[in-house]
Amino acid sequence: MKESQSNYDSEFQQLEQQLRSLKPAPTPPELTRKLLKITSSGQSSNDRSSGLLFLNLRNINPRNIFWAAAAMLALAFVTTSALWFKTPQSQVAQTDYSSAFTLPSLDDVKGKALKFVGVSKIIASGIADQDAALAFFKSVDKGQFGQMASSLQTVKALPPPLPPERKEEVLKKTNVMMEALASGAPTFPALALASATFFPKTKN
Amino acid sequence: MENQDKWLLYARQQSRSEADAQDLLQESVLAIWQQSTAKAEPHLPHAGAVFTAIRFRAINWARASDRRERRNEEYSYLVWNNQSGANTYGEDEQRMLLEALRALPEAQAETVTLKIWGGLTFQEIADICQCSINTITARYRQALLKLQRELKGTFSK
Repeated sequence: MKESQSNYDSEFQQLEQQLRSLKPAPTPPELTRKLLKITSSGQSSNDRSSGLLFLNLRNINPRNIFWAAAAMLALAFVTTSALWFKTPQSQVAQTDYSSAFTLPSLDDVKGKALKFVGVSKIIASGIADQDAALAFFKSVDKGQFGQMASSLQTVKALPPPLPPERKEEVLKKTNVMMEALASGAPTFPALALASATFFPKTKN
Repeated sequence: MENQDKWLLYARQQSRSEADAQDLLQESVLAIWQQSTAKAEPHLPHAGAVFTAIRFRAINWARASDRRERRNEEYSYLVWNNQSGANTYGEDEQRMLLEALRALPEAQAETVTLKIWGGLTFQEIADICQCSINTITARYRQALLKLQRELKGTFSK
């Protein structure tokens, strides 16, 4: 039995040697150059040998899909703001801040997959004062939205806080939204919440 | 980058075309490199890590783009270096071997590729393929047995 095992292994060794004597084709110089570039510079080398980067779904980084989703949500947000600013001032004056609307729970908001990456990070890191945040959101218009990051510097200079009777309610809503944004997973519900908070229903 | 030929061979084995194989290798090395730079410990990619990255990406590509069908039969992942003196055997013997290797089931071909030309141990292959070392050794033995049967008398020194 041992002898047969020994023969078996020696036969395999012979075959292995024969296989190893065959050398795979060398890496094409162009690919070698790309690999060296990656490891020597540490910079992303995104040029592909296939040359069809944007026509091939598998070449799209999943992170970019999040960015695409973020852009779509941003567009929705801008549209909402545009609608808000088109609202006649007489209606704005009659805004019913006490009107009831349902807030999604924090868990509902956190549980979603889409990340509103850029804007959420800017908001979460840039606005500490919630009164100022509220005022800031109310002040955002279509033009300012695109320059939100730089606009954050002026948050403190915006109008004074809300009256005391409104403050508690608004702070509660703002807290929910800010926590959702800071958690890194703000989603469409978060945006809806933001819209509902900062662009509440108006009385007709 | 002494391992690049081995990596590319494995990438070829895992993909369906030369362009796919090159993309696979490039993305894998890039990913490993980015991981190491993110940790502020840039180092040349570890051979085993690149093999793992290639396999992981190949599976993801297959899932993402419905590439489950078998490799294009015209695409030979084992392309031998026929430059002077690189190989001991002639073209006919190489062709026979190539056909025998292509006849192997994917998992067995993968094991042989990683063991013979990747230069990995059974344990390293088991780690890459995420299965037990017994499974890997069994696949390897079965593959060699099949090759032996197919190539009997082909390789005569």
